[in-house]
Amino acid sequence: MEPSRLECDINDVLDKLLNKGLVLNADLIISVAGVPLLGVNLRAAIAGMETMLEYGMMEAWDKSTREWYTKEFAGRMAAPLVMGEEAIIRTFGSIWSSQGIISTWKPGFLYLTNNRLFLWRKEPPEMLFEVSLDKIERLMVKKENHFKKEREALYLQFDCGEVARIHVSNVTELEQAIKMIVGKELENRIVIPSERTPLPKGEEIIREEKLWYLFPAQSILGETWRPGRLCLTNKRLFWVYRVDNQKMFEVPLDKVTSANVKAHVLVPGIKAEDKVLNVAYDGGRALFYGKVEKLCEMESAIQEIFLKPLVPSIVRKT
Amino acid sequence: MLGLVVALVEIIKEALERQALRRIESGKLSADEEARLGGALADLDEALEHIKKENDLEDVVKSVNDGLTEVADIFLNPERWEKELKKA
Amino acid sequence: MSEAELARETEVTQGRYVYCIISGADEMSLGNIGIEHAEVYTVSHKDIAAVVHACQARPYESRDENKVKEWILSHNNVIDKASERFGTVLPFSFDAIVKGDDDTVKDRLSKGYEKLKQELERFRDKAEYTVQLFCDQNRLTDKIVGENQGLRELKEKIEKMPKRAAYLLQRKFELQVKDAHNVMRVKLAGEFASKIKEHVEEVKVEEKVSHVPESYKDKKLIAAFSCLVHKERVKRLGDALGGINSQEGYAVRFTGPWAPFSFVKLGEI
Repeated sequence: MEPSRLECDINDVLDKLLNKGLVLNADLIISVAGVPLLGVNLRAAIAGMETMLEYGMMEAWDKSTREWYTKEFAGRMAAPLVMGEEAIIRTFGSIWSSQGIISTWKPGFLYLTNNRLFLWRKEPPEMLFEVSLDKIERLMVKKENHFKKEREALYLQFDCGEVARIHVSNVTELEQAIKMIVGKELENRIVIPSERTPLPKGEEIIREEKLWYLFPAQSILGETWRPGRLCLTNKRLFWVYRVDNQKMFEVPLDKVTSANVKAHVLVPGIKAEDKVLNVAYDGGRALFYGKVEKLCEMESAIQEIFLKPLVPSIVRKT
Repeated sequence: MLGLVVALVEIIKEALERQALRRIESGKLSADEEARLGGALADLDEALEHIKKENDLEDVVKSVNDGLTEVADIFLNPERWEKELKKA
Repeated sequence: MSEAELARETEVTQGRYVYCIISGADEMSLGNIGIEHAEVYTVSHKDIAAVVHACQARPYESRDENKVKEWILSHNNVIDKASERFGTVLPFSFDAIVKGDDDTVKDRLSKGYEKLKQELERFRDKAEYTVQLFCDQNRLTDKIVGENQGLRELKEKIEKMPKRAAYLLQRKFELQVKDAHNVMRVKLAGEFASKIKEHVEEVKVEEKVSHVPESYKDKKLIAAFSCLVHKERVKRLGDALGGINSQEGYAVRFTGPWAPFSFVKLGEI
C-alpha cells in the first residue's frame, strides 16, 4: 500500500497544523492574550478580538462573538471608574477623531456611567475621550456609509459647542440609555460648526431664531415657506436656509424700515389668525413665521437696534 | 429540536432496557411483570419509530446518537488506546 | 497631536512569519510562495536556517473562513517545498510571527541552536504519516456472533417468537452485540497498533479525526495514529497496511508524507 496525500483536503491539513508544530515564546510574538489562535477549530483561529480593537478594525460584531469576548475579558484591567460611579453601559466603540491632517476612528471601551461618558483604551491605557453627562445638550443618530456598509453613528453636542461622533454596535441602546440618564430634553439636531461660515470681522450676531421664511415666487413655483434661521447682526438681517445653509435673504440694517408681528391675511399656508413677522425694507418686505415667542423676540431685537420705538403699523416713508 | 428530543429519549430507553434485563436475569420479576415490562418497552419503541418516520428524523437521530456514543466511549475508556499500544 | 505621537501612529512594526527550521547554511529565496504571495526566504545562523517571510508584526486573522483556509494551505505548501529542498524540517504551527527583523530571527536561531540542531538530527530522513483503520459494522457483528455461542442461540430463540413478545430479548441481543463491538474495537486497535509498531520510530494516538473521505463513510473508525517513519521503512509499513486493507470488511487510510508536526517537541522556543 502506498501513502498518498491526493485525497487529503483542508481538514487533513488542519489536523496537522493546528495545535501541532512548534510555537514561539510569548515575548517574541504579537500575543493576543487569551485568544487561541492555535485553536482546535477554524472559528477559534479566526479573528482575535483584542487585536481587532488594537488595530482599529471596527467591523460589526455578531452577538455570539461579542458574548464570547465579554466572557473572556470580564474583569480584566479595570477602567478608571470613580468611587460611587457605576458603569451602566460598557461596550466596544470608537470615536471619530479629527486632529490636524489625521482623521480616524479611535477604538476603545465606551463606558456610560451615572456621571460620565468616556472611551477608554486598555493597552496602552489611555482615556481617549471623556465628558460629564450634564454637558450634553444635543443628541442625534444618523445613518452613514462606512466602508461601503451603512451603519449608524451617534452624535453628541455639548454646551461648549463641541461635537462628538461615536459608533457602537448597538447605537439605539446607547442613545436610549443616554437619554434616560441625562433626563432633560435633548435637541435632535446637531449644529455642525463647520456648516456655518464665520462672520466678517466686526460683525456679531445679536439674535438668531429658527424661523420659516416665505420664499418669493420663482418662475412656475409659487411662494413657498422654507425652514431656516433668521440672524440679526449689528450690521444686517439675513436668513439662512436649513437644508443647504445658503443665505437666501439679506438686508443691511439701515435699509430696514420696520418689523412687526401681526396677523396677516392672504398669506398662503398660514391660518388667518396666525401671526407672522413682517420685516419691511427698501425694496419690499419679508415674512417670517414660527413660534409666536420667537417672532416677538426677533421683533424686539430688531426694534431695539433702531433705538427708536417704532409705532406698529406706521411705516416710515422715505 | 425534535430530533434531539427523540435521540435523548432513545438513550433513556436504552438505559431502561438494560435495567429491565438485569432485573429479569436476577429472577426478581414474575413472568407477568416480565411480559408487561417487555410490552411497555416495545410500545415505546414503536412510538419512537413512528415519530421518526413521520418527521423524517431517522438520520438526525442516528447522528446524534452516534455522536453521544462516541463521547461515552471516550469517557468509559480513557486509557483504552494507550493500554493496548503498550501491550502490543 | 505631537510629532512623537504622530510617528507612533504611523509606524508599522516589522515581523517575520516563520514557517519552519531547516538544515542549511545558505540564504536564498524560495519565491513568492508564501501567504498572500509573500516572498519566502531563508535566514541562517551557522548550519541551520529559518524559512520566513517579512510581514507586519500582527497575526494573520480574518473572519472569512475561505481566506484562512487559503493561508493555511499556503503555510503547508511552503513547508512541503522546503522539505523537498532541504530534507526534513521542523514545522511551525500556523501564525508564528516574530516581532522584529532578520537579525531578530538570527538571534533566536543562535539562542536555540543546540536544541534545534538536535531536533533536526532526530528527524533526519524521517517523515510523519497518518494511519487509520476502519471496519465495516456488519462484518464486526458477524464476527462477534460467530464467535459467541450464547448469542447464536439467543438469535435462534428470538426468530421463533412473535415480535412483540420477543422485543426485550431482541434488545438483549442488540445491546450485547453493541457492547461487544466496543470491546472488539479496542482489541482490534491494539492488534493494529502491534502490526505497525515494528515499522515505525514513534507513534502517537489521535483521538479525533476531522475528515473521513466518502469511500470510508459507511465504516466505523477503529484507530487513528500519527507515525514517525524512516524513509527506508515506509515500504514495509505500506505492505503491512496493505495486508490489513485487503481483508474483507477492513479499510486502511494511509496518508503522507507530512512534516513531523505531531512529533516536534521543543516546547516553546
